[in-house]
Amino acid sequence: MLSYSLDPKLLNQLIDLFAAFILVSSFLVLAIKRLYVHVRLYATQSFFLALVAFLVAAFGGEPHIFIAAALTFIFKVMLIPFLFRRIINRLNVQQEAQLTLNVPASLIVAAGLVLGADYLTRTILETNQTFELSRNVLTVSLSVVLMGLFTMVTRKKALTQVIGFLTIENGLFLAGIAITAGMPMIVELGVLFDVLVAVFIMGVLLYRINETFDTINVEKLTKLKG
Amino acid sequence: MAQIYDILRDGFSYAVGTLQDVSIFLILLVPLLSAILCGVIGKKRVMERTSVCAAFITALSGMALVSRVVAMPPGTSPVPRLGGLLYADALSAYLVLIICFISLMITLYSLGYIGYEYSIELFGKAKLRQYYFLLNLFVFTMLLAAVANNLGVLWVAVEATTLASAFLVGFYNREESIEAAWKYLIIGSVGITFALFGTVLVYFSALSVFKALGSPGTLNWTDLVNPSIATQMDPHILKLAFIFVLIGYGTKAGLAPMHTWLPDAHSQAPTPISALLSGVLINAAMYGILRFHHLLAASPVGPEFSSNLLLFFGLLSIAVATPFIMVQKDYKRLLAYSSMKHMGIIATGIGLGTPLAIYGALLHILNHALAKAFIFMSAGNLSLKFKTKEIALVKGIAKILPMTSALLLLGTFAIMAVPPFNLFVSEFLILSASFLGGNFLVGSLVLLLVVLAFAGFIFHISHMILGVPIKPLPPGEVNPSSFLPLSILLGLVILLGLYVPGPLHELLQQATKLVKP
Repeated sequence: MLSYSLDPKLLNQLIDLFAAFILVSSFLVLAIKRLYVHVRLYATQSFFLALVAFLVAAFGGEPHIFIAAALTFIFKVMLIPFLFRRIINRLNVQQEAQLTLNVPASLIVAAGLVLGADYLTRTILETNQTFELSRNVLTVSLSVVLMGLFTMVTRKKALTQVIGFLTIENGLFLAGIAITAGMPMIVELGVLFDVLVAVFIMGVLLYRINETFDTINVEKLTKLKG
Repeated sequence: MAQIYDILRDGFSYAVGTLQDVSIFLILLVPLLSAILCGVIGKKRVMERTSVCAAFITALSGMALVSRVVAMPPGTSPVPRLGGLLYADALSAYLVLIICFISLMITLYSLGYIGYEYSIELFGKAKLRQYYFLLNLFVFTMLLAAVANNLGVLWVAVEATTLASAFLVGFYNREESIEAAWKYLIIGSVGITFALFGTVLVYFSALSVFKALGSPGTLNWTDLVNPSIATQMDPHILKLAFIFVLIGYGTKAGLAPMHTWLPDAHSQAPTPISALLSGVLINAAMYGILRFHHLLAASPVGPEFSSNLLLFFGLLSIAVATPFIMVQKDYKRLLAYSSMKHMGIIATGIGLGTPLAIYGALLHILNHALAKAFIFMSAGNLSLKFKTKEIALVKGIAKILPMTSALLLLGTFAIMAVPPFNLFVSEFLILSASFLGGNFLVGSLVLLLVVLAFAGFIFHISHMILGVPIKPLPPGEVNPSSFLPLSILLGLVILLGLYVPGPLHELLQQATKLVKP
């Protein structure tokens, strides 16, 4: 096993710091309208996620998370953003994301979501369970999940919806690391595989939506009612 | 002579025993191999034969699995396989039985239905290959969900069902079908991430118990429900986890208010796929909820919390579906909302929580799968001929498709739970359980909504069957090969309405104990 170690307090502070970066990148997705930046923010967020996973793996005594950290880096920091850039170039989409709720209002709602997440995690903490990591990380992960959901609801581009979905998944991954030091390996791998396939299928459907509707604005998808 | 007979008998029982032993692997391997074969070969004849053979072998293995599980002496638990990843008890065997049987019927039906659409060049060869590949893969993912022991693997399998069926929903590449596929994929995937969060929370609350006992953490259901673990888990976290799981799997099960993908996907998918989504997929999602329901009941939380939630969402689903049934304009959506209503009835039955109600709800799952596959297939023959899904544009089926109109009428009575059809029995069980248990409000509410839905349904269908055809179409069936699966299903729908066979009764009783210990 690894012989060197890190002061647990410092480790927790480092993880908290990276978790804060993860939270900030979720906020920025709501604040910035350009699609390219969204992709880059997703890559950044995943990068910090991989860092957190790496720290837990190296100093938290959970070596099996190394694999999850490495896979996160390969797929979420490199491969998926690369695919997204290709899709954006190919589809020739208009760069500005259209919003159903403007930026300041979105940010206020997002702040409310973080407070809600904090309240919810507080109730979990009341149950006197020993946490693997600090409660802040759980708050961040739940906030990221809620903000991803919020992004999906208020942004009209199909591509942004996919980013929102991936953000939700990032939040869940963080939660898994934060409170249980990672799920069993087979689950970790299965989830990652599912997400990859989901992104692939969503990409193909994006092309089809673009071909059929001449736009990837989901507001045009309104034929089915009742 | 007697010796030869003995040898033959020994050999036979040995073969049956071996089949029972490996059945849990066979039901997974056969559909997967068949999917790969279909994906590689791509010749119409070969794909059709492979799929039918695979579905048949899977159904046989499913029967073997059921017979093994039923024959288990009470008190012994079935041996988990693959290091505890796979596992089958009465509840999963019951679901396996439904999946295997309905998918066999659907595969038989696909030959005629998809074959006809291929022959009129609605789509090309590549699409045909895609269809059979994904159909087999879809069946595989559902079976994996049924026999997964690890709750994380269960989640992975349920998410995989969405992924395998998304392209099937968007199969025709029309505007509406792409819209339906997109909604299905997004709502399904996002909804189910909540179930993953719930699973993480369950793992979290179990982990400290495992650590206290000095064993490594695991998500295997068999370990979690072990009294030494389950009774120690934190009730607050489990409650929160169940809410997340209910939202997550409830989305896939079509419970209101997370049901919005359901009518779209059911109406836009090719009819065999609609039948599979409606008869099987939503049950597989419900199965996921039932596993957690059991876990909560075995823990300090007790069964009331999750029962009440299921009861609430069940009633809400029936209440939301009923008006949409009454004013529906599209007959495939009509069937979709009826599925939602029946899922609501099943959830209500589970929520009522008495053994009688749970027995009824479990029986309702099978009965609904059979009847819904039956009526979807009849409606599919109709849409092949009329090339529209609008109720207003279909009139006088009795004159143009006499056989199909008769089947559609029978299917309508079956799906509306009229005696002597099977759904009547299970619905009656649930209703009487609610009155016996003193839940008069629940019982009368369900009864009222069911009657309203019946009126709406029969109004729409009678308008389609009777009347003068709007366009003069030449009379004659276009999908005669469908009458084989249709008549098998019709036979079962009536048979199960008259009595529940012994082995099935035994299986159901064991499964009832697994829903609520």
